[in-house]
Amino acid sequence: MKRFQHWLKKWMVNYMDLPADVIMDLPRLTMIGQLHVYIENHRGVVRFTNTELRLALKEGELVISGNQFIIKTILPEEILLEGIIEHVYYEKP
Amino acid sequence: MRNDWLHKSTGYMKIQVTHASPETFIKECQRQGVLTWEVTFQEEERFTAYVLLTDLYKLKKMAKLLSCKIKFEEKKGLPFLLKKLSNRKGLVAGILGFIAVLILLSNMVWTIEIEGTDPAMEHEVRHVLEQMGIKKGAFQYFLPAPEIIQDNIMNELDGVTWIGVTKHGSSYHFQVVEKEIVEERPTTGTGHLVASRKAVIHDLFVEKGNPLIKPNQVVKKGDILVSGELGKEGKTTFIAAEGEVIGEFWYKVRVKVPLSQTIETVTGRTAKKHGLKIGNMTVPVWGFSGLNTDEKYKEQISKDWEIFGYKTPFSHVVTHEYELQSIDRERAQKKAVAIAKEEATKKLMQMLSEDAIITGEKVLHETVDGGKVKVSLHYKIQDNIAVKQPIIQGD
Repeated sequence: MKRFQHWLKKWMVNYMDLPADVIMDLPRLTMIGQLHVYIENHRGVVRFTNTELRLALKEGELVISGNQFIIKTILPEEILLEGIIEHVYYEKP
Repeated sequence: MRNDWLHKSTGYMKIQVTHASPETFIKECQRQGVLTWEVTFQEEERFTAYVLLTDLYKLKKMAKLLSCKIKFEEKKGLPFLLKKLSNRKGLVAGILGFIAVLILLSNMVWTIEIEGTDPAMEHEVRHVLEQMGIKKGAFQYFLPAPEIIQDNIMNELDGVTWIGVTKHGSSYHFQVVEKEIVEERPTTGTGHLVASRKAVIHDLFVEKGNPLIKPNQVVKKGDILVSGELGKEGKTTFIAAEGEVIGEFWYKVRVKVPLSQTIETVTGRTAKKHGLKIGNMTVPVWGFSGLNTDEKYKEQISKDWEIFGYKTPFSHVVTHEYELQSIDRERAQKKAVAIAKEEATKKLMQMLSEDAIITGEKVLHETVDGGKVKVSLHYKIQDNIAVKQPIIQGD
């Protein structure tokens, strides 16, 4: 059943031109150079230091590393990170 | 996104949290519904963040729950600002007082302009306005609306056809249109017109009265020209005779004009010398040579030096030198006569009224005597000779 749901969602994204982040609960990242990264649809902060931010996703984690990190804004599903961003990568569980 | 303006009005604080990791703190914040921002990692188990003043109670609960320590580092926003200001009551009182005075003064009448009338009417309008309370320094709160002012003035003043009242901020502007009253000519007392001098009547224009003379008639001084007595004998009425009587008379004028004349003129060459005067001695400072001509005109201007109102023995002397040139003017006799005529005419016109016309001029006699030309001229003049003379009534 879960597999079918996943397949259906993917089909809708591919053939109905619906945004993937809404349908599939994926994070949406907006980056402004190295300065800012704006993340929507996250599932909570796992770890935060001045060089690393780990965000929980529906599946796996989103890791942002760099320097001089400050969480400018934090709302239940949105986060605005400021600093010098060097890497953005995903980690599978 | 957060609203900075809203936070500043409600007040916010910078807190330092120790003995807790930022992750757990953020998690707890979201659970409790506490808004937080600018979370900055300092070191392991120590970070700073901003929270709202309104979440203070929830924050205390969180500190107990997470068993962490919260230290307040900065307090910002309107509530804290007001608290600070309450310590400076003088400043606050000054600001409030200034605003109060500003409002008060801007609601006063500062200028009243009245336009379109003569000073007498203006004074009357001003008087009426003052009675209504409109004067410098009056408060606009207590004054009636411009339309009512307009009505009132128009009712009070008879000589006003219309008055426009406009208010520009703190000034009133009145545009007055006066009633034009046709003035009757002042009635002069009854009287005759008499001759002011001996003359031959040339023409007469009688407006009122009974003319007693005809053109080409010779009149003596004091003769009645136009009588102010009308009607038959026994049933006479007296009026003021009016009119113009043009009489022709003669004048003999004698003028002397010198034949030669020496005139000194300035050629335009000038020199300027500056000197310093100490007592009676003058030391030249600038401009030593001066003019090298014999005939020159000197002008000296000296300025005393003063220090704080006290005279010093020094003074600054400026000498202007102008070169002169003398011209001998030999005049031809003919030219001299012409000049004589001109001078005589000028002399004559000063004696007569503005309407006088010179109808003829004739050189009677001219002689050269001792470098001078003597000319006697004969003028024929037409001028108004009528003069009013009141009638003394009753016996």
